[in-house]
Amino acid sequence: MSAQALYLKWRPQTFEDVIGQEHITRTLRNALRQDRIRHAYLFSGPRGTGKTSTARLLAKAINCTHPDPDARPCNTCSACVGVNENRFLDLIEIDAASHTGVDDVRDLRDKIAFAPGEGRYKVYIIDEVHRFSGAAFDALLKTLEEPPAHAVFVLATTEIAKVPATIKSRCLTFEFRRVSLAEVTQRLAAIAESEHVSIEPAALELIAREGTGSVRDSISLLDQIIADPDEHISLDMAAQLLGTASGQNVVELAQAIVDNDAPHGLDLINSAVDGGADPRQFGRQVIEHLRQVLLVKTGGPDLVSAAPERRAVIETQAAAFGRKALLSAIRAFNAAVQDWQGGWQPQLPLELAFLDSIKPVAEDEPEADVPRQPRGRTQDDLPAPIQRPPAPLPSAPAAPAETGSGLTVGQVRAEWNRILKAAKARHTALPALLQHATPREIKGSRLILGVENSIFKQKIEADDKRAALQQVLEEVLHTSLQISVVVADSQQHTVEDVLAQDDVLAFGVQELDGEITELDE
Amino acid sequence: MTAAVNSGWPVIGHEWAIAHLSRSLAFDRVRHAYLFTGPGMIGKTTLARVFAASLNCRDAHAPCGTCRTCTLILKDGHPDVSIVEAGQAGGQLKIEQVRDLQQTLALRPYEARYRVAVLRRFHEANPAAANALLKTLEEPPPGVILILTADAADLLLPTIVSRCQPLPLRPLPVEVVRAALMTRGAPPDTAQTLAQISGGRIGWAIRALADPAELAQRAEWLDLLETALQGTRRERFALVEKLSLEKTGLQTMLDFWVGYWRDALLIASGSRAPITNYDRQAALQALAERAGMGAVQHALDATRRTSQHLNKNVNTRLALEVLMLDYPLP
Repeated sequence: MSAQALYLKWRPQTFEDVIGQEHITRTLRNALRQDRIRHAYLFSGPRGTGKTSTARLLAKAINCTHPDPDARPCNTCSACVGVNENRFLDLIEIDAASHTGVDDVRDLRDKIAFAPGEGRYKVYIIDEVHRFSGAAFDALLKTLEEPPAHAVFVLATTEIAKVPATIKSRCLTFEFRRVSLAEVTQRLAAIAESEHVSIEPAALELIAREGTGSVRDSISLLDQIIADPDEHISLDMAAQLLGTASGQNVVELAQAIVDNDAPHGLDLINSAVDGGADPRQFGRQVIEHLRQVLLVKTGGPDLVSAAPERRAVIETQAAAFGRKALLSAIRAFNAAVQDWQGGWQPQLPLELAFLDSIKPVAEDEPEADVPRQPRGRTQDDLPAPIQRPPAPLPSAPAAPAETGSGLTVGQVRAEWNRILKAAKARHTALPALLQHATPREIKGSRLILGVENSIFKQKIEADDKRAALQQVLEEVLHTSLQISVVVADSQQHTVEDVLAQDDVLAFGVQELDGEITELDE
Repeated sequence: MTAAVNSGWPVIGHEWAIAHLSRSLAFDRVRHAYLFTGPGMIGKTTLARVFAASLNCRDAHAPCGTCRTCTLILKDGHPDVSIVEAGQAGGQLKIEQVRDLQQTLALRPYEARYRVAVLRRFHEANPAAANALLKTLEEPPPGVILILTADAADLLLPTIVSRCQPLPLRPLPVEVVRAALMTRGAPPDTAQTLAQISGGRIGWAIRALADPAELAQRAEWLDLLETALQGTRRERFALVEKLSLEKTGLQTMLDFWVGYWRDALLIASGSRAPITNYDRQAALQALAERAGMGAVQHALDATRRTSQHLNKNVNTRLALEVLMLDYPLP
């Protein structure tokens, strides 16, 4: 026979062994002491927090023959031993997940009337009760409300929301909590000691962290790591087996986001995954780290408990990160982890999330930064002359050709209304003039405006207005730009304008080799 | 972890997992339920089968691979080893199958030491089936070992995962795949190319080695992508029209395309991470330079999205046309 899994071997045998659920065990023990056992209990809570274990403890305790109620379950009387060895006749454990139907409940109802065979009470543990069908729940209602005096029900579920209100109201409900990191670590240490396994405390803490508050998960992980009981288990070994990326990798990746260093970040992800880190797990670790940075950044350092050297790293990064960049990085990684599509390259979602989080600063992509406006895309790339441009419209957002100012014409257009408003304060005539101008392109740090008529060109180019306009641009766009004004030829203007205003038409002309034969006003 | 235990298991790669399993065997610490996760065709079921043989082989160097037990198990013919899976890939594993399995598992082993159940691609189990397995998985009858395989642990119910010992398997290093192909008689350069392209999916590499059509198909799909990228929109639409007539394999095609774009992205970003489509390096380089990182990333996102959409049974032709619009023009 294979050795028993540790989480089965170390199932709590007394109420003291149940960790992190004092609010429940205390209530139950008080009830036992005062002999005020209710006829139905409903245990709910996340997986691995002790629902089934507590249910069995309760079954033992109410049937235990020890004279002192405080000492129950004693684990020595015949009832306790019977339960421990899984042969106690009056403990009926029903797996509601595979016995979902109304017939299973009817069977239960038929047998419940018989008095217990060896103990005081017949205990029905219905595990995974949320899987009962609607009819099964309804069939249980009357029995659950008024069972025979010798029967006690314990219902256990991870999904309390799926249990009908009529069932809930007939039971005494206990909610099990996730167990705290410290308690799990302590429990793991105790188990490791009894199993004569030597393991680094930091490794135990890593395991407890991975277990996310579920005792069963944590003990399973510990079990998984102990293959050879004589071997000393170090933090590195544990990390390798659990597929956890080293903390260093996580910190460096965050640093790569700060530095906008795409090649380094991608290398980091690939080497971590090649080194055995589970990509999704790695993503979660990155989120956790960024979250701590965010907490330090917004709420001050008190919110994060970490070792001093780690805290120093977090504080440095918190200072280097912009809040917006930090939030968008967390969102990007969170989306990737939530909606994971691994496929053939398991690390791909991580890589994309990483690139998404550095993008806002690394590249100015018009599409990402500018709210869509109807003329945005096509006008960018329409050259002034009427000849059908040889260069077709790019379908993807235009590559940022001008890097001098770091601005694209799309951004200027998006801000155009604000610029008009701000212009009024600078020069009274400016807004009216600008009504006739459209931002055409940006060359280096020069903004080129197109106007319909040379009069407007002269007026805008007058020194006072030009200076005012430059100030306005600086104020709104935070970039200093030179101004040029060009007059668009009226004939050219119409065709170009039509194309610019109509995406579909432009597409037809330039992609599908269409021709405009006539222009109608 | 030191891979000191030389296993001699007939499995390619996954040394750490094998070391772990054989050590568990040696120290009699075998768990009652395992969960092997990792991308398709990296050898999860093979490992499960070999592990089942090791559990039951009576030879000192289990699995010996020659005794009756081993031969039967490795050929899926042993009465005490049941393999349960969805009717076809992409189908559903049903609750009836789980109930049947529970019936079988309740009986003592017929001739072997352990009754082993391998539940393949368990992420395809429907919720009722997965839930029905919960109690069996937590406390199976004595002498029963359950092995689940799945693409990723996150695709399963957390209650399932927490009852198993997970072994997250990873795609194999290119070097290991290459060596394995060489021992199967592949010429060195074929082995190298296949190993690179397989991205560590040994199952695919071996199949491609045995069946040249597999490689030809890949080449055809990538050629098609490259042609499309050179063409105008009109030409692209014409390609799509032809493509949308063949429904099967489009998903795989898009997987190849995703890999292709990812390589372009790696090159565009200047990362040193190794690319998969090694044989297309020149074209990829040109594409990365021409399109730039933003456009490549956009195309990659679009390809992934399209792949998802096709799974949801959208209009194939329309989806592919939209995809073509998202690709950068020459």
